[in-house]
Amino acid sequence: MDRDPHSATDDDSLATFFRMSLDLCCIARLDGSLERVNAAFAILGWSEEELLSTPFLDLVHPDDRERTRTELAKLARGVPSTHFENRYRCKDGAYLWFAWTTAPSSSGVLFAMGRNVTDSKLRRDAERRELERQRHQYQAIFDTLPQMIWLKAADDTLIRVNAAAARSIGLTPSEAEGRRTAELYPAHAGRYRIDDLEVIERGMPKLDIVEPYEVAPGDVRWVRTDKTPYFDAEGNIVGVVVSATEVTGWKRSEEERARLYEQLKAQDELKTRFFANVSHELRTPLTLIIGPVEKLLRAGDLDATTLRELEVVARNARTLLKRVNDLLDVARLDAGKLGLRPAQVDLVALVRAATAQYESIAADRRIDLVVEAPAEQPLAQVDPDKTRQIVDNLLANAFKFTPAGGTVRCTLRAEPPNDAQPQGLVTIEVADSGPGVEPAMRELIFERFRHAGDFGGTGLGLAIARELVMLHGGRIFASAASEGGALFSVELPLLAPAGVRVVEASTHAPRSRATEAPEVAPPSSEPREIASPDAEPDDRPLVLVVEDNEDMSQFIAGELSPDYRIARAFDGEQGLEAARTLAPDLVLTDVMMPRVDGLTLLAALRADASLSAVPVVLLTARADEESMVDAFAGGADDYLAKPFSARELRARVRAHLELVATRAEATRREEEAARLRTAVRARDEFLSVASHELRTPLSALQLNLQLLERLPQDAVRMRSERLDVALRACKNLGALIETLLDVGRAATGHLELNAVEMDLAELLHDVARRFEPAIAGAGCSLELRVEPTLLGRWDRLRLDQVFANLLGNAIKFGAGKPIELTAIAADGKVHVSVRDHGVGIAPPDQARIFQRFEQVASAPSYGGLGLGLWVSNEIVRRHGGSLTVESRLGEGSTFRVSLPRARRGDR
Amino acid sequence: MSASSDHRVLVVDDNVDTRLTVELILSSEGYHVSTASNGVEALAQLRTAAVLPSVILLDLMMPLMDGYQFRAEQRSDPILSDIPVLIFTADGNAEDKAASLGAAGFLRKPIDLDVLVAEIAAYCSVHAGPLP
Repeated sequence: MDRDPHSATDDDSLATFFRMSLDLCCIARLDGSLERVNAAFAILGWSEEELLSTPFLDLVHPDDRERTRTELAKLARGVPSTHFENRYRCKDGAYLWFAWTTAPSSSGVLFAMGRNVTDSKLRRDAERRELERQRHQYQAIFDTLPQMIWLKAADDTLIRVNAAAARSIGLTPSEAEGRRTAELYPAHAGRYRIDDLEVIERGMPKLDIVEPYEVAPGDVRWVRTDKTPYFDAEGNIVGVVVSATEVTGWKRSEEERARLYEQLKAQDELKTRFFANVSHELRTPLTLIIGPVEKLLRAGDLDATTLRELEVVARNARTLLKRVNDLLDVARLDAGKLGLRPAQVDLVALVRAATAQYESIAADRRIDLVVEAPAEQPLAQVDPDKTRQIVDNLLANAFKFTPAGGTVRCTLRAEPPNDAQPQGLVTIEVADSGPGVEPAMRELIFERFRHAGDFGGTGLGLAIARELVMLHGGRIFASAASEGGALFSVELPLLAPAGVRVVEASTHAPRSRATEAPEVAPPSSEPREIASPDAEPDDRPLVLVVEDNEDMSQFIAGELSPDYRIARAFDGEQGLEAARTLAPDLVLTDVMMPRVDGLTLLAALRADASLSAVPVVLLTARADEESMVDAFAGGADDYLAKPFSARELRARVRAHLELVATRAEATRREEEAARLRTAVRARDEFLSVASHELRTPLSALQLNLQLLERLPQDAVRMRSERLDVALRACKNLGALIETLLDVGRAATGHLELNAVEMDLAELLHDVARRFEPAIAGAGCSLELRVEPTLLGRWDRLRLDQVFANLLGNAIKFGAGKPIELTAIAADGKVHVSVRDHGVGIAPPDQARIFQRFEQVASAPSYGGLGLGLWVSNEIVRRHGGSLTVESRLGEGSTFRVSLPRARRGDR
Repeated sequence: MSASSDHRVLVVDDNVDTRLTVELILSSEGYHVSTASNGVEALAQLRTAAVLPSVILLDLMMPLMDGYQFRAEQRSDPILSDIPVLIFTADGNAEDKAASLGAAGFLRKPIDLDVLVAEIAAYCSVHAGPLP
C-alpha cells in the first residue's frame, strides 16, 4: 500500500486514528473509485484490493445509486455532505445501511466517514410500518362506523370527520375537514356551538342530545348526539369529539306513540262512560225480564216444556245481569267512583250466606261444597257488599271450573291485630278440584277480559274481585289447591284504615248483588259428544252448529231443525272433526269457545280443500268492526252478532245456502260458456283455415283465366297449357272442398263409414295408377311392394282418400326422389307404409300434423297438409287402426297405416 | 317492357301452379324471374346469385321454411336485408302480417293479374336498378 505524501507526525497519528476507527473511513476520488479504506471496511467482507479496484457505485444498492450520484455531484461542487444514507452490498450479497459524512478537499479527493446504521434503520422502518398499519386500522374503524363522528377544535374547525358524517351532507371527509361547523350546518350551528362550548368549558361529556340535523336545505333529520371533551396528549381540552346516530324513524314513531297514547286515553275514557251508560240501560229491561219470569216459575202451573224453556230464559237473563253488573263495576272502578264503605261485618255469616246459594247446584252436580270457618269470629271492618261480591265471584269461578263430582272448599281465618299486622288479617280461601291455573297464568287471570284460555265468559269476575280487594288495601292471589284445582286466597285487613268512618252495624244483610240465584253455567269443562245429525240423511241441507253454550246451541238447533238437518259440536276441535266427517252444507260457529276458537276453526276449514267452499257464519258477541275485519279476512262468509233473533238466524242461513246453489249454477254456466267459446273459436279458425286453403288454388285459377283472356287466339299451345293449369286448380279446389267437408263431418262426429268386404291390394294399385302422371311430372319413381291380396272389411272410398292423400304428400314433398309404397298383412292387420325421400318433417311438426285443424291452423308450415292428414287420421281411427309418421329432416318421411281386417263390433 | 328488363323478381311459393303462372306473367312483362318453392330454396338462390332481385314475392305458408322464418333469415343477412319483400298470401290478415314482418307491401290471394303487374312494376321503378 502506498504511503500518503503528508507530513510524518500528523500522518502517523492520523493514520493510527484512521486504522482504529470503528466507523468506515475512506478517501475516495470524484471519479468513483476508492483510494484508501480503513479496517472497518472489513464489515463488507470485501478485501481491500477488491474495494480499491471496484468503482464504489457498483457496490451501492441500485435503488440508492441515483441519490448517491446526486450527492457526489454536490460534493464535486465543493458542498460537504452530512448524514447521507445509502446501502452497500456485502460480499455475501446482503446490504448494509451506512450514514455518511463526506468532506470534499481542494485536492479533488473526498474524505468520507460512514457509520453502519443498518440496525436502527431497519428498526425505524419496522416502527414506521407498524404506525402506518395502526393508523390504517383506526382510519378503517373510523370510516366504517355507522355513527357520524366529528373531531372539532375549540374554535369550531373540523379536525377530523369520518366517512359517515361527511357522506350525510354529500361530502368526502377531506372536503369537510378544515372547515367550520357553522359553514356546513348553517341552520343549527348555533345550537351545536352552545353544547360544544359547554363541553369544552366544563370538561364533562354531554350525552343523549336529540336534536335536528339538516343534511340539505329543508331536509331535516333527527340525530342522537354524544359530545365528549377532546384532550390533547398533555391532558388539555382542545376541542370536542361529537358522535351522532340518526334517529329520525325513532323520533317520528315516538311522536306518533305520544299522539296514539293521548288518543287511546281519550277513547278509554269514552269507553268507560259508554260502559256505564250501556250497563244502566240494560239493567232496566233485564230486571223487567227476570221479575215476571221468576213470578211465572214460582206460580208452578206450567207444563214441563214451558217450565224448561222458562228456566233457560231465567238462567240466561241472570247471567246477563251479572255480566252487566260486572261491566258497570268496571266502569265505576275506572272512573274511581267506587268508594269503600266499611261496616262491622260478621264474615262467617257472610261466607255461609254466599255458599248457601250454591248448595242446590252442588247437589245437582254432585259437587262436595265444604265451608270451613271458626264458630266465632271477630267482626271485620270491611265493605259488606263488596266483600260479598268478592266471595261470590270466587265461588262462581270455582263452580264454573269444577267438574261434576268435584269439590269446592271455602275457608275463613282471622288473625287479630299484632305487631306484624297492626290492622289484623282475615283470609278467605276458595279452593276447587278443577283444572287449576298454570303458574304462568296466575297473575294474568286477574287482568280484565282475560280468562284461563279454555273457558268462556267475559273474565271480569276475577278482575273485579282484585279491584275490590285492592280497594280494601288487601291482596288476592292464586295458587294450587290440595284438591288439585285452583286456590284463590283473599287477604283483607281486619280493621279499616284509621280515619275511615265505620258503620257500627250493617243496616242491611249483605246480599248477592248479581243474582237471586247464582249463575249456573253448564260445566263446559267436560267434553261433550258431538251431537250427530238429528235426522237420517235426506235432501235437506246439513247445518253444523259449533257452539259451547248449551242453551245457545239448543236454541239454534231448535230454530233451524224444521228446515235443515242439524249436527252440533261444542268447540272448534269437535267442529272441525264433525265438518270433516259430515261435510255439512253450512257451518255456524261461535267465535269464543274453549280449546279451539271459532276463528281457528274457520282457518282450518278454509285450509281444507274439501271444506274450503263451505259457507261459514260466525256467531259473535263482539260486533266491533275490528273483529269483523278479522273474520272476513279469515274467509268467513257472514256473521251474526249476539243477540240475534230467530228470524235473522233463519234468514242468514237460508241466504247462504241459496248463495252456494247459485254459485254452483254460475260455475256450471261458466264452464258451459267456456266450452261454447272454445267451439266458436274452433269454428272461426276452421273458417279461416278453410278460406286460406281455398284462396290458394283460386289464385292460380284466376291468374290463368286472365292470361287465357289476353293470349291471342292463335297461341293454341299456350292457351291449352293455361287451360290445363286452370283445370287442375279447379280440381284442387273441388278436392279441397271435399276435404273441408270431411273435416267438418269428422269434427262434428258425422263421418260415417260404409264398410264392405274389399281387397286393399287392388285399391292401392288403383291409387298408384291414378297418380302415375303426377309421379312422372314431379320426377319421382314409385316402387310398389304390395301382397297380392289383402282382404278386409273397410270403407273403400274413405281408404282411397287416405292413400291418395299420403301419396299426394309424398309427391309434393319428395319431388325428384323415389317413393316406396309397401303393404303386408300381419297380426290380423294390414300394414301399409308410404315412404318418400323428400324434405322430411321437423319433430315439432310431426307432433302437430295429426292434430285438429284449430291447432294446425296456428302452425303456418302445414297449411294444406294438416287438413288432409287430419281427415286421413280420423278415417283410419274410425276403422280401429292407426296412422303414424316417422321422419328425419332432409331424409324423407314414412307414413304407416295399420288397419284391422275387420272392425271389432262393426255394425 | 324493355324498361324493366334489368330487373329481377324472385317468386317464393309452394304452390306449383301459382309459382309457374306468376313466373309466366312476369317473364312476359320483361322481368328476369326466378322461383323457389320454400324459404330454404329461396335463401340458397339468393346467397349464390350473381345479381340480386329487385323485389321478392313471398308466400307465407310453405313447408320446410315458411315465409316468417325466411324473413327472419333475410333481415339478419346484411346483403339481403335491403331487398323489398311483397307478402303474397291467402291469409285474411295479410296487411297485419306484412306490417309485423316489416315487409314493403302485400298482395292478397287470389290476385288480379293487372294488380300483380302494377305492384311489381312499382317496386322495380322505385329502385334505380339491381343491387350490385
